[in-house]
Order: sequence, then structure tokens, then C-alpha cells
Amino acid sequence: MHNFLNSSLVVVLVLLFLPKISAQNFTVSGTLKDASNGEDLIGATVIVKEIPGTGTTANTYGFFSLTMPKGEYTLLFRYVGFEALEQKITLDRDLRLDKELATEAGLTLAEVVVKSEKDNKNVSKTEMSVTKLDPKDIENIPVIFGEKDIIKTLQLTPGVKSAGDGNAGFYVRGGAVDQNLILLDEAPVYNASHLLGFFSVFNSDALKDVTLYKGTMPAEFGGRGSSVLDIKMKDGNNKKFNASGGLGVISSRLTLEGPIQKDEGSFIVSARRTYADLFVKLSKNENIRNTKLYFYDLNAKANYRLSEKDRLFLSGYFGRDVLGLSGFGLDWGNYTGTLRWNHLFSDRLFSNTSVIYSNYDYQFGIGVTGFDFKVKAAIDDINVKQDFTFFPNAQNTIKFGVNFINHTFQPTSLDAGEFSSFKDSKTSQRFAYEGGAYVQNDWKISDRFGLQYGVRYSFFDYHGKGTAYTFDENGIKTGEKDYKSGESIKFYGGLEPRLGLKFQVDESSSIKAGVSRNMQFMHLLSNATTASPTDLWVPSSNNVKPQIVDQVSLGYFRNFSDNMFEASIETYYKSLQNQIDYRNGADLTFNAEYEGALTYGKGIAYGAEFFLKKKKGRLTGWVGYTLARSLRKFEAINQGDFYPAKQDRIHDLSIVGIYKLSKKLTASATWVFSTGDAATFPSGKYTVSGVQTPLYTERNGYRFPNYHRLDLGVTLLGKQGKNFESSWNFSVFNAYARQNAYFITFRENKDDRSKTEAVQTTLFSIIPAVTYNFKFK
Amino acid sequence: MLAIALSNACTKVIDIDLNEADPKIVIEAELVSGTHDFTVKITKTSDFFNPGQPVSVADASVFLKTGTDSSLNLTNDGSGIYTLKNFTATENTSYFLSVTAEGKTYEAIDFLPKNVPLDSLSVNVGEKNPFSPAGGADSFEVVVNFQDPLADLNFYRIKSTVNGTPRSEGAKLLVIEDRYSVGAYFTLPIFTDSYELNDNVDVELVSMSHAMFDYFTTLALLVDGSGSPAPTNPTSNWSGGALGYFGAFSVSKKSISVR
Repeated sequence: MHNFLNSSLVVVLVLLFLPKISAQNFTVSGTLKDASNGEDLIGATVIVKEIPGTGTTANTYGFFSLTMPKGEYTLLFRYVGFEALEQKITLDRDLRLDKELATEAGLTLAEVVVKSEKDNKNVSKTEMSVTKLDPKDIENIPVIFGEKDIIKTLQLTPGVKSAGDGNAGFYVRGGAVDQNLILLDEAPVYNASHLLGFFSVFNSDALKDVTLYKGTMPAEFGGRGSSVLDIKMKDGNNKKFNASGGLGVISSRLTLEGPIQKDEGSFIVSARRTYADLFVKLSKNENIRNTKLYFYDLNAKANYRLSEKDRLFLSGYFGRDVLGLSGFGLDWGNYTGTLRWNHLFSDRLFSNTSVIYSNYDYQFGIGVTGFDFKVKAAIDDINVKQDFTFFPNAQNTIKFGVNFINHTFQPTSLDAGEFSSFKDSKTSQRFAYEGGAYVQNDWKISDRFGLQYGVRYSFFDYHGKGTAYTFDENGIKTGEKDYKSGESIKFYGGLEPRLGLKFQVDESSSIKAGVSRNMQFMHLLSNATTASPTDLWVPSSNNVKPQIVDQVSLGYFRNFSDNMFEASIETYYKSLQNQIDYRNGADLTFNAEYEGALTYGKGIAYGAEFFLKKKKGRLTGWVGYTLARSLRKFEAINQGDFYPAKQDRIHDLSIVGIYKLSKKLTASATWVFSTGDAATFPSGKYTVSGVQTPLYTERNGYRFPNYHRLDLGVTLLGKQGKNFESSWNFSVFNAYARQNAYFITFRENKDDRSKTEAVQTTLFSIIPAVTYNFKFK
Repeated sequence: MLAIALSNACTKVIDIDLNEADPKIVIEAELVSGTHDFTVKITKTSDFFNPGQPVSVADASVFLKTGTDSSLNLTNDGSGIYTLKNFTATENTSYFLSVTAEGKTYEAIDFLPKNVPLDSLSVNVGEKNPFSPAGGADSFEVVVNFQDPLADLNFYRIKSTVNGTPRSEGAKLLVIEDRYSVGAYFTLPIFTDSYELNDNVDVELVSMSHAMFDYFTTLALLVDGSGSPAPTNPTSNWSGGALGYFGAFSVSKKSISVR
């Protein structure tokens, strides 16, 4: 832990290099909110008209602070979809300015607003490789079963790829599904899928802001190799009470929000539940009647302003899936809770303290006589975070902070029934501490240059009480050692530099570059071909080293036609160390010694992402194309040669079009195309023990057929009254019924048993859906 | 709606271009406790989609050895089958088999474990087993009852035939271990098959080594259709990259009629 000293040193150095602050400077600070509901405007910009190139951005809680020499200024407050607000100030003392921005006249909630807080923000901001979604934006994009889903929409942007039909996982820039840090109000969500992966756990009615960092992540984030998906829940309307919801073919949603005390505090509760199982109860067949198949989730949040300087937030997510067939049951879910306290130490030092709880668990059981057992596994986190933002002047914003997580892992453990042939197999819990300290400065050097530089120190301490095993190079156990409670089994720590640079060529174009390192101490082991609720999170240990991902990226950003079009080309190269794969015939279930089944290697990923977006006019939308490779190299696989990772999709194209036919009618279409996943197929066969056995010669040497699909949607606005609004959404998923491969198996030809044929299974053919949405206000 | 979507899932036969691999040697050898003819079958792998007639390897030399005894040569009948007549294999013994074919030598060792007696068979009527293919009320289940020895880890394969032929053409392997149930009394339904009224079912409880358990579990992963993200050839005990296995087994048999 002495390494903390190093990071403290860095903090001091960063502060020393800041321009001296003269005594003649004063600070204007405050919060920016939506005038209609009091929601904080995350990322709203404040521009100082008199000094080009200066300005600031409201933080996650809508707070901004600008320190400038004494003088007269004109401040311009902007947020996309809102009327800009101009205010003249005389800065001869510190000022507090709390502003509310009103939505642009004529814009209604259901309208397509493609978010970019300032028209050319994509060009002018230093950060790159960032995708932002406004949950409102996705309403018109057609999705499966009509369940709008931020993760499915993110998969339509370059560099983000779906893990396949019926799978809520995603790959970012060639990384694995477990390399994405998914945060809901700062709480990690360990399994983001519902219904075995058909939907994500995020109910977009309850969400305010979704940001995906694919490249250089801000130093405040750590713990995953490829990306951070930072999701913020709505705070709730603090002006007046509101009820909204929707009825869909799969699920229904209801959201209630309102002030606790007008302008001072608010709450929001949003719930969603599927109801397929209610119809199942009507069946005459007892087996079907006893089938359980549903999920629910509940998002709840409250916030209250204790004083001008203090604000409290409490938010939580509770979700569960239940699947039960005769004699078989599986259920899983996430619970998260976040308590946050915003405090202003001064008008230039903003502080947020968070206490976060996060839990994921699953259990499944079989109730057949003589064969009954129950299997459980869980992961449980308690996380404390302290973040500061310091606004020394109009050119610099410094963020620094620390966090500490206590992880408890419960690997799969088996409870046998009373009359079972099985015996209990209780695997003991595993424990680890994870933490970090970071500092980062966002420096607007000049009109043209911007620099975001920071460093994070991360550590992971895998500790007792527990047993550590050692294995030889063939995965055979060579020894074990017991550790006392709290005794360190293995400690890892290291520095993660994060650097971003922007050069603004002119008002409408810029070049950006980034360099970053990310370390990952927790890994997801999968028992099955496709992502499954029973995938297991395991800690780094004396055997499993942390994954290290280094990335360099370079991009060119350009807007055309008065910011009507936004275009970018981003390229990246990633080096991945300590990647994990399974030995042949690996058995991970109920296996306390599962580490013996793992083998380690490295990987590289590189690619180019092309993006063109039309932001204004009747027709809006985008085209995203990614040309990329993702390769792995393991000594034990393919004679130690590089081979394609499963997610190595060379071409990936998404086209999204939204057309406003009239004030009430909007039509939309999306088309996606990608190279098929890399797969392992046999190259020959033979018969042993009467069994026709395939012969494999290389890992991932083949490809699935190419994937493509067209989805269509229509949104029809109903009555838009003063107190009531409604809309209908119709969608068709996979409109031309493309049979995409979900998996491919091989079987004997029924007519000629000496012959074998390849059989492709398609999960979703054409699926129409309709959703009705309403809002009382 | 979801049910519609799921039943919507469909399959079709597709064409895939597979690379033709160089044929590899496959050696299959099963040594069973007691006095039997011990045979070794040597073939080569064939094309995946259109295998044609299996290619046998007829000019190999094969010998079996145990402990310090001298090696015993197997005789070649010219069709790729090598035989040692009336060989007596004993329990709790390691056997070593060596094959030299096309200028390369392949070797394997297996341990012949002590026999675990099959206590009895019973029939469950209409048991609702989610894994049984028929599942419904009219299916019958054959249950294997035996006492697992407390002493050490045991590995079993359960083989069944109906009126003399395997019900599922050998494609479903039932292989179990006692890692979570050492010393338990097993009442294990043969959940890989379902049976009909008046079936005469012969069941073998095959005791095997850890190496054979690994071979058959990895083989089962390949052939039971569930698929693996990274399928590989079964974990063979042959050195030199030969496919197949050399297994030494002890077998306990019982029969039952489904009534």
C-alpha cells in the first residue's frame, strides 16, 4: 500500500504545475437544471463569450464553477434540445448562479433529439472514443419485442458489437464481455441480462444519461480492461407529480416521480415486469401451468437538498429473473444501492462521497427424486468512494479521489437434497480488497490545444480466510496452503496512465489522440457457449494474474453543413496481457480448484471506426462502420499461433435512419451487417466406442455465416394534452426474416447415416411488436 | 409472446466448407477384467461430411505389457484388428499398450480398477424427469442402484441396451464420478434414455480410471450436441498424438424387463 505515496506525490506535482491563481480572481458557480422537471443537466456547457476557448461543463450533478479575473462577462448556458440562455455578470466578487434551462419551443418529449450538448462538442472536447446516449433518443429506434434497450442501441454504434441474438452482452473494441465495467449510479452491475439475455436489466424509463467510454477512460474509472458504461438514473421531477408508463407485448412499465419538497428534493420509482407467466397459468396442461418464466425490476431514487452546499441521494436497483420448469428451477438477479452526499467545500471544490452496495447471485436446482440438489453462487461488494473536483480557473478542471471495495465471492456450491445421491459440496467463500487513487486534469491549453492527463493507482489484495492452490504447467495440483482471515494471499498493484490530446484544426474539425492502461482484477468464467446467468465471476489470485489492456488511439473529427453532419474516423491498437482461456475438457462447476482448468495467453486488437451522423432535419440517423481484428495467442492452442477471438468480426456495419413523416408520425429503420463469429468446426471424423466423433485441428479456424438484419419501427403520437400524453410504437424485428445462425451443430444424415450434415439454429425470425406509452402530468 | 418467439427458433441444414485435414491415426482398445479376447482396432480419420469406408491400418505392430512381465504381441488379421486370444486381465493392475504404425510409436497406460457391483435395477413409472427425452407421463425410467465404495474416488460409465441394441445409438454417454458423493448409495436414473413397456434392458456398470473418465466426459461434450465454445478432441491417454483411447475396465451387469 506504500504505493499510495506515489500517487499522492503525483497529486502534489499536478497541483504545482497549475498556473498561479492571482488574488484578483473571482468564482462564478452554480447548478444547471431542466426548467420542466428540475433534473440536473449533466454536461451542459457554460461558455464565456469574451474569452474564446474558455468555458466549462456541468458535472454529473449539474454543478459548474468558473474562476476568472475580475471583470464583466457574458455567460452562455447551452444544452442540446434546450433554449440557450445568456447572462451578463459583473465578476467583482464570488457569484452563485443557479439556472434552469427550458426545452426548445415546439419540441415534445417523444421527438428525436440527437444529443450533443453543444453543436460541435464532438469536435471541441478533448475526450475521444466516447458514445453518449440520451434515453429519450432511443424511443424511435426499433428493437426486439418493442422493449427499448440502451444496450441494444449502443450496439448500433461503431466499436460496440452485440454478443449475438438473445444475448445482452457486448464487445467493445475486440475486448471480451467481462471487460466492460457497467455502472448504475456508480454501483457495478455484474450481470446485465434478463431472460437469459434477451433484454438488458436497464429500464430506460428510469435512466437519465448513458455514457460509454471505449478508449481513454477518465482516471476516476478502473477495474475493467475494455470499456466503462456509466449509467445515471433520473433524479425524479422536483416540480410536480408525474405518472408514466407503457404496455408492451412482453412487459409493462410504470414510473412515478414527484417532489419531496418542491425544488428541494424529489423521488422516482420505476418498475417493470413481464407477464408471459400469467397466461401460462391458463393452460390445461399441469406441466405448463407450473412453468415459471418472468423477470421484474425496480429502480428507486430519492434526493434532497439539505442546504445550499449539501445534497443527499439514495438510489437502488432490485431485479430478479425466475425460470422454472417441472423439476428444474433457475433464478438470478442483481441488487445495488448507492448513498451519495454532495458537498461544496468552497465554490471551487466539489466533493462527492458514495457508499455503494452491489450484489449478484444465482441459484438453480433440480428436484427429481434421488437426484435433487441446489446450486448457488454469488458476488457481493461494499464500496466506498470519495471524489473531488477542483476548479482552479477557467482553463483547468482537476479531479482526484480514492475508492475501496470489499469483495466477497461465493463460488458455485452444491446443497444436496435429503434423499439425493449427491453429497453437499460447499466451496468456501473467497475474499478480496480492491481499491484505487487517481488524479486527472482537463487542461484547455489554448483555443487549439486541449490536454487531459491523469494517472490511477489500482490495487487488489486477494486474502484469507481461504485456501490457495498451486498447479504445475499441466494444471495438476501441486500443493495447497491455508491462510488466516485477512492474511494476504496475493497482492497486485500498478499505475494506469491515461492521456488524451486534442488539436483543433478549425471550428469544425479536430485531431485527437489517446493513450491508456487499464487493469482488471476480476474475470468471468463461462460454463457454456453463450452467455448464461451461471457464468462465474472469480478474483485474481496467486494463479490468475490481472488482465492488463494498453490502448493507443488516434481520431479525426469533423462536422459539416453548420453541424448538421457529424463525422469521425477513429483508429485504435490494443495489447491485452494475461488473457484467460480453458484447458481442454475444463470443468468449472463446483470446483474449488477451477484455477487448474485455466490457461493464460495474450491478445491484440486493432481497428478503424467510421461514423457519420445526421443530426438535423426530417431525416436523422447515422452510419457506423468498423473494420477490426481481435486475435489471441495461447501456448496450448493452435501450436501457439495467433488465432481469431470469437468476437473477431472483421466488418461491422450499422445504419440507423429516423424519418419524421408528420408532427405525429415518425418512421425508423435499422440495418446491421457483420462478419460471422469465429468458430471451431471439425475437419474430419472417426468412430470410437460406437460413437461418431468429430476431429478438431484448430481453434476458431472457421466462421459463422455473415449476420444481417433489418428492423423497422413506427411511432404514432396520440393526444398531447396539458395533463396527458400518449403514443403507440409498432416495430418489426428482423423484417425480412433472415435466418441468422445462433449456433451450428452437426448430425448424422437421416437417410444416409455415413454422412454428416451441418445444422444451423436460428433464434429469432421475424417478430412484430406493439407498445403503448402514456404519461399523466 | 415469448413462447411464440422461442418456438419461432428454427433449424436448417446449411453448407459449410470444411478444410480437409491430413488423416490421423485412431487407436481403440478396451481391456475388460476376466478372460476374454483382447482386441485393438486401428483406423484413420476420414472426411467429415462424406467419410466413405473407414480406412484401416493393417501393418502395425502391437504389444501389451503389465508390470515386469514380458510383452505379449497381438496378432494381425490384416483388417486393422489386432487380437490377443483368451487374455486374463486382473483388477487393481496397470497395463501398458504400445502400437507402432507407419514408422511412429504410440503408447498408453491405463489402470484396471476394482469392480463395483451393480446392486439392482428398478423401474420408475411416469417419473417426470426434465432431462428424459420423452418426459411425459407414459415414459419409464430405469434406475441403477449400487453402493459406491468409501475408499477412494470412483468413475463409472453406465451403458444400456434395449432388446440387444443401444437405444440411442451410442451417441449419448452417461459418465459419472463420485467426487460429490464418495461412499453414497447411488439410485441413479439412466436419464439419457427413456424406455417403453416390455423393453428388456441390459445395463452395464463400468468402473474405469480417472484417465478414462476424462476421455469419456470430453467425448460426451463433443457428441451430446450441447456444444462447447472451444471444442477440442477428447483427452486421450495415447502419447504421440493418436486419437482414441486405451481403456481397462471392470464391468458389472444386470437385466430388467420394463413392466
